[in-house]
Amino acid sequence: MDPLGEMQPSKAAPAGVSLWVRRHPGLLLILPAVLVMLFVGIFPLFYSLGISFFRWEPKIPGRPFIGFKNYADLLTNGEFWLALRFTGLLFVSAVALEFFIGLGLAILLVEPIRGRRLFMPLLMLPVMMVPVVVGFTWRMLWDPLYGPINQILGWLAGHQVKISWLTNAKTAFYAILITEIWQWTPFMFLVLLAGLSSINPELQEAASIDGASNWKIFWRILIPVIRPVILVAVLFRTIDVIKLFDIIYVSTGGGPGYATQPITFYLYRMGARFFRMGYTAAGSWLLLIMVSVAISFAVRRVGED
Amino acid sequence: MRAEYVQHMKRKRRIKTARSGARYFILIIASLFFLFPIFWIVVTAFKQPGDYFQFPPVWFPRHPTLAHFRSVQTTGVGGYTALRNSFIINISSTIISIGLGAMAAYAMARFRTGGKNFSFWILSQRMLPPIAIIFPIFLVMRTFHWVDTYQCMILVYTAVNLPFVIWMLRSYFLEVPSEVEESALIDGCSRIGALFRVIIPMSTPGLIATAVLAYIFTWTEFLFALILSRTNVFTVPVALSAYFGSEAQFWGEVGVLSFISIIPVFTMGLLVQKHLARGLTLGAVKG
Repeated sequence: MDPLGEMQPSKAAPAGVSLWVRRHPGLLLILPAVLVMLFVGIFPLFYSLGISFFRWEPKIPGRPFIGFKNYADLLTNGEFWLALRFTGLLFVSAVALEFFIGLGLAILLVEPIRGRRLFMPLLMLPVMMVPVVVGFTWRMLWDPLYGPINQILGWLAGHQVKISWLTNAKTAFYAILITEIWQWTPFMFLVLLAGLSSINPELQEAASIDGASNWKIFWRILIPVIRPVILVAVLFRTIDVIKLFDIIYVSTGGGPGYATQPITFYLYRMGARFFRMGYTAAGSWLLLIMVSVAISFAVRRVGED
Repeated sequence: MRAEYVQHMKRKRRIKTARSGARYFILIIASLFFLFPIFWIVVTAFKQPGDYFQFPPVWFPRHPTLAHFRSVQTTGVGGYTALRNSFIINISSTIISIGLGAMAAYAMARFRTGGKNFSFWILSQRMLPPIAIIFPIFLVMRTFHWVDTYQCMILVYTAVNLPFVIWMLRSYFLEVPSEVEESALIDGCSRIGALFRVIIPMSTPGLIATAVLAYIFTWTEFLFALILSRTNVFTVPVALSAYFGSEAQFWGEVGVLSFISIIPVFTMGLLVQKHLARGLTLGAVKG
């Protein structure tokens, strides 16, 4: 394992544990970090797998073993599917829009431009915002009467606009979508810009000397070259959309009805408000299975690059 | 011939100015879009209570006030207490996770400890949806009577940060050429000596960037803090969320707390902006 360690002459042959430790100094070094992650990551995960087979609810005395009943209940629960549907729809539309806007901005800033040092920080601020603050801020902005969005729309329309963005099921989706895009487009932009900047400019020059059009250079050369970067960006967005909770908590509260309730928020309500531990645990395992099936493929790809 | 050439060059230049004009136009629109909400929350902090319910909305308060900087502590759960809690929890968990993470990252970079499977295992920790582990953690902490204590929050945030810290530091350590380290070892440095005298000084920018980003990630974290804190160790996001539901009387306090909470994060974030793309993707994309 350690070629340099073996070169050192051992004065007295240490026995047992200390010999083993000297042969594998790395294991000792990773041990503290692994212990913390086992205690706060892996153990809770399997604890929750155990809980998921029991009926653990405040109203029911004892904690009877019920096998897969919790899972069956979830899969036949309309609200669970509604929450999954919201998360899925939001994921597809948000990531697609963030990708195109982010790519556009990255293309504009990858060539040298005066004022780049000014634009760059402005375009990365939202990533660093506390999501709870983002939720509050946009709740003010969307306000039907006292919010500036309806005011600006009013100027454009030429008459007063009174859209109740967050209390109408249809507009609430778009309001959350735009809030999400506002915070995370900068992430796409940063990652794609990093990808584009790493491309050797000679590649483009060679192609354009060979008579390739800008359009062709873009689709045939730039996009394939930065494909791993795109994959990484989409992977991280997937994880974050599944985690979506904070913005919802302080803006719509999942409403109106269940129109803007993401899956994490649904499971949170089941656990924290109704204390249905078994049911919540089963729900998070279902979510986990769906996510890992989707992600494991992508992670392998990313790891290979 | 010559006149034609001049014409051609003029047209080319015109296209170029038009293109760069369009570039600036789009960039300015985008900047306004990304800046406006931040402007709004900052202005909210200085508005008079009457300004929130004005139609049309007040963009620039005529009589800005500092009153909310005082009332933010007396209303809700206490804004400055939350800032102190957040600071204590985040600084401690950042330091601990950098310490433990640097050890693990060094082992992985130099001894290939655990190999590829181990690094994937760590990556999968970062991918874990928090909702899948939060309630079991809560139940465990409750049996220890650790809910709503600093040690609980620091431990959990250390675990949240570790996968990120390890992946980042590993990628920075791998950039230090092993020849440099080997020559230090030949010169009589011990392994630990080489780590502190060669590896760490050579990856200082990366270490600082990692620490700053770890701090930012836990500073903005909400779900764990919401469930694991009650009345003692609530963090800034939790204090903010406490204003939710008390319908709109507290916009000024929300504005102040938001304003104070984003200043350190923006300052530190902009200092390490070159590392941001790399940090947000755990070192997968080098900025």
